[in-house]
Amino acid sequence: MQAAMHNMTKVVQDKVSPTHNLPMSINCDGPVNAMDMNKDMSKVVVAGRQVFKIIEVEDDMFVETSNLRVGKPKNINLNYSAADVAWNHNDENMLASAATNGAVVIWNLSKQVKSKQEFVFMEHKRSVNRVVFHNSEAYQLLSGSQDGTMKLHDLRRKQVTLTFMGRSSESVRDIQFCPANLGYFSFAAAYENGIVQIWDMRRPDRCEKHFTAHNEPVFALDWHPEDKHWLATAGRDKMIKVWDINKQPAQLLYVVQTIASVGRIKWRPQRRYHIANCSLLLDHNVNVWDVRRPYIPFACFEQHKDVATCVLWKDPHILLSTGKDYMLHQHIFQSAKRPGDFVIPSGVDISIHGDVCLAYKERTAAVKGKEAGKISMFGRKTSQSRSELFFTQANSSLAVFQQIAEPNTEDEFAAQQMSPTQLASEDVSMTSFLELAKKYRLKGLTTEELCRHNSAAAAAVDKYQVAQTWQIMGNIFCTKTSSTKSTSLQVPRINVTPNAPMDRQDVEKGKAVSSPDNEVEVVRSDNDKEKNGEISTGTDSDSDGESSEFEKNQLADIASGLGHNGDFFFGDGDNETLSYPLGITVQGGEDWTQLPSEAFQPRHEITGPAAPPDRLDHDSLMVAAVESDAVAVMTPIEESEPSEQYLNLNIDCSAFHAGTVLDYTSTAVDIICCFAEQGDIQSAVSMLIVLGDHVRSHIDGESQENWFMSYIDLLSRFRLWTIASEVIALSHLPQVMQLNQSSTSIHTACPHCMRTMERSGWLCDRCKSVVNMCSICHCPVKGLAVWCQGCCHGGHIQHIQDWLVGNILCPEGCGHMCEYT
Amino acid sequence: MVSVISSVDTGHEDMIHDAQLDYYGTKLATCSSDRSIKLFDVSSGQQVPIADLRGHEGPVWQLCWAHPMYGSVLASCGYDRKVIIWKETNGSWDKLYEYSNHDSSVNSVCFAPHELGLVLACGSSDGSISVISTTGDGNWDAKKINNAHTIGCNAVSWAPSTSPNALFDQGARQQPAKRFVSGGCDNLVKIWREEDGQWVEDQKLEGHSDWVRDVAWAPSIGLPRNVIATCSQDCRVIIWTNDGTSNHWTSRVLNKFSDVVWHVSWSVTGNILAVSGGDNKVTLWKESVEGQWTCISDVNKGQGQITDQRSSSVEPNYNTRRRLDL
Repeated sequence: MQAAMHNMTKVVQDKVSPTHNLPMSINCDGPVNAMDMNKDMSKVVVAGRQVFKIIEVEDDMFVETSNLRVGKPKNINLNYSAADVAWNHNDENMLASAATNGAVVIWNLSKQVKSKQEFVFMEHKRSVNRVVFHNSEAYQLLSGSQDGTMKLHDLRRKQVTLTFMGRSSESVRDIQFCPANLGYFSFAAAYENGIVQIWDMRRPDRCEKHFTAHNEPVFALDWHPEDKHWLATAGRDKMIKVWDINKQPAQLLYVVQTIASVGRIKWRPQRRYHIANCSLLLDHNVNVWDVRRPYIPFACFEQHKDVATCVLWKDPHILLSTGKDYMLHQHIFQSAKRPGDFVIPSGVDISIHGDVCLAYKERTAAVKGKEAGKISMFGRKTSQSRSELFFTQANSSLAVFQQIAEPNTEDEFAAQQMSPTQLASEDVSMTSFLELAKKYRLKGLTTEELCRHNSAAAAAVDKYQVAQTWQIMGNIFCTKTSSTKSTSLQVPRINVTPNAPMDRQDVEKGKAVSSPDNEVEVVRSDNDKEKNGEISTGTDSDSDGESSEFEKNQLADIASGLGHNGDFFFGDGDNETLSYPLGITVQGGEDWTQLPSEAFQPRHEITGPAAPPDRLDHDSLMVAAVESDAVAVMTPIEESEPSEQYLNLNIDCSAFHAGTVLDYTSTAVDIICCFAEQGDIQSAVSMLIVLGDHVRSHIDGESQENWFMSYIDLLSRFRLWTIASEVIALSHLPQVMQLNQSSTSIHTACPHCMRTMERSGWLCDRCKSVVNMCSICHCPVKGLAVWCQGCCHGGHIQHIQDWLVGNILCPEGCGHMCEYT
Repeated sequence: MVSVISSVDTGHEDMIHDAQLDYYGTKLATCSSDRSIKLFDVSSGQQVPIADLRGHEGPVWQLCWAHPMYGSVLASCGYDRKVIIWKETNGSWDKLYEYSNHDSSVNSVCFAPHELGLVLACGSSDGSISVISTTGDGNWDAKKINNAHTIGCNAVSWAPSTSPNALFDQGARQQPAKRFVSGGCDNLVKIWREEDGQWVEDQKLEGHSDWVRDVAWAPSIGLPRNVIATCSQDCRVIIWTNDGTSNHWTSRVLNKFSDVVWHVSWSVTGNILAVSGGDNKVTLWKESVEGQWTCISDVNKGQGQITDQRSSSVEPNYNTRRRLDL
């Protein structure tokens, strides 16, 4: 949009501006202080300390026509060095220059001799800063000097006719006549103390207006070419100010902030709000500002290599400038750099919480309105002002897209109904990360219990894939745990047979919800308590055999009813059997009733044909089903062979297990790595911690350290210091664990020399003396020491304790009533 | 879950060029053409103004927060050729350091990963990049890469300190890899590496056909590779990836937008990219398992669009909108 508008501006300007003008430049052989143009703008005079030349402006080049700095070298004095120069507006051959020795020199170009110097006024006591011809009165020349006076010279009588002097003797830095059509007799003067005065030529005794424009010296001022009430001033304070001087007191209309002290300013013809400036130092550019947008230049010319000293508008599209770099440049406005176009109009950031914050350029309705108004009122000029309008209408808005607390997802189909946007924001949001960081349990239970707990936690925040993975992890590694600890929790992936008691079935439904999209059916046939007992005892007897590991898998929901004390279950009755699952949920710390209810939905599989009742009685079969399905979930393609074994596993289950046990570990490792690669460092690290020794050795230490460091860093960003500390402690990596061991020592200071005692608490290395001796036994205290905060006496904790039983005063005898908390 | 859009009336008088949230996401800093930097406390969900930092003498282009281990430190750069580092002490913000050794507008600032110390890179329109560092005792040291990008440098972004290849290069582990990426007006993306205390060009990535406007090195949280997102005036966003072991970078165009793309920004975990363009939209992108980048969200940020969303209150996710006037 912006670019398009810019292009349009260019097209418009191409039509409007004369096409034959080219950017051009000439080297003036010396630093140029000032320049002026003749009336028809065909010639330029450039003046400086060592330069005084007339240069003709041709279509495609500058041509030096005459050098005024001529004559015998001994005759060339300070009069030839100019601080300012002015070309008479009416007499083509008359020039005036201001010299630093206080001279005002009149030059006549029509003189036939080499030296064109006509007359020298030596009225000023100090250097002259500015000379200006009256716009209409050809023989009136006004000069302003460092000595605080302004003098009106009559060039016909060759004498000073009037002297204007402000109330103070502050130096005059700039004077400018009001444009002839606006105020014939008025001129403005700028002073070094920040004062600007408006004078009437007819009243030399006092000024018309007087106001403080700047707090620092005013270096330049310029009357608006069209609006006689507008006066621009600029100074060392780096500001260009536009005043309405018709108001009393003068009213400040606009302030432009530049980046350096302003040397010269010049309004752009035919553009009400545009003003060009050059700086005294630092900034070598010639900038054109739109006063309505005071912070960024509208256009910028970067040709000068040293500070530019003077700017002049030839017409609205052509700007001349001179500089300390010896150069006179003609700039074509069309080719100016437009800083506004290179400005980045937007900013975007994602916060740690997933909030997206962006600043963007505002398109206000005001733009359209103004535009419409201009079209009807000014016709042709509209297109020109459009670029200005777009330039000045530069407001930004800032919006924050926030992630707020998760809405109530009690709705069964919430997951299905979620719009893409919601899912997207879920991706960015770190809410679930926070929740999980707090809810995950990383220690204190068996691996399987932890997996189960964490699975439920992940499911609670709708991270179903993560939840599923936790379950798989639990499945894979529960067997190893159970063979050693004899206690395990069954993962909630259970389908009961129709002949199981109804209430038990309901309970297990509740457990199954955390795996809504991936059902693994375990066929169970615990018709009676004798069967249960048989299973349990079977496990006991085969605890060293591989087959027992399978059985544990499905035994879990029976055995775990006995809690974590490692006893085996021998069923006593139906009632007890029914209550076991409830016991599990309590122990796991995750109440199944809190699981999301939408997960009930996939329960249609419960009636599926996966578990024909006629095969139910065999324990081995149902165990195999657990394992094979778990494998199928993780690696659906490679591990498809268990489906073949589904029926005959009761025969060959040990062989099956022996062949695949290693695969599980590597699969688990793959899963963890996969999470890490997806940037889910939380799952990767948590699984790494929970699975611990099972997988640790299979992942290279550097990666692990990297993950841990990343996760710890993330946790600290959320200020979860406690959790970060726990993760550090559980990392098993020395490089990570040392994080918790840094900055944990406090050294006491020697009471004599105040030097910290780093070697021990009782010997000062510098004093070579034993300090902090026990007040009771007068021996150095090498173990636990205690001392009174009041008198600083103390000693062995046991000694002090004994002392205080019978005394209240300090054992040292200082008379202090010692207080110990 | 729910996107609540809150418009912040910043009180800036001109265009806002950057908005940055700090490490903990509690403070928001904005900078504008009006020479000011404004800070807001956003921890409560509301935007409470904290401070108005004035010190720049021209438009302020970009901001960067330092890691909190150095305190509340903010860097800013602007048209006045200055880089100012601000620090909060007892609730008041003051200049900590001012760097003014550039010859033109400074367009970009970026703090290095905290492991490298308080180090700052800044890219300028004068084509050079400065790397400013402090030893902590108040002394600052600057290294300048001259002519890094002809015409000008627009953006810099540091590589995460634990870059993936360090994992395999045991020898280099002791000294974290110091690298950053820059983009400039020469349409190039360059990667710089510190070697014996000097900054040398590591890679030159060619792919854009116009000025590169922003570069962003993805945080490598567990990621086994280097990922850089760049956006350009040519309306394209390019994702550059490197496997972490070789020196070869592959490019993939994320998307060609209909307008200039101004900014790219990675989420904390480095798996989501926010892209903001000239069409006043921000889009969120995520890489699928197959390596394809898909747009997962399309949030309009134009005022009119927001109004539309509010009116369609059927969608529960936009039914609340807060406008906070500060």
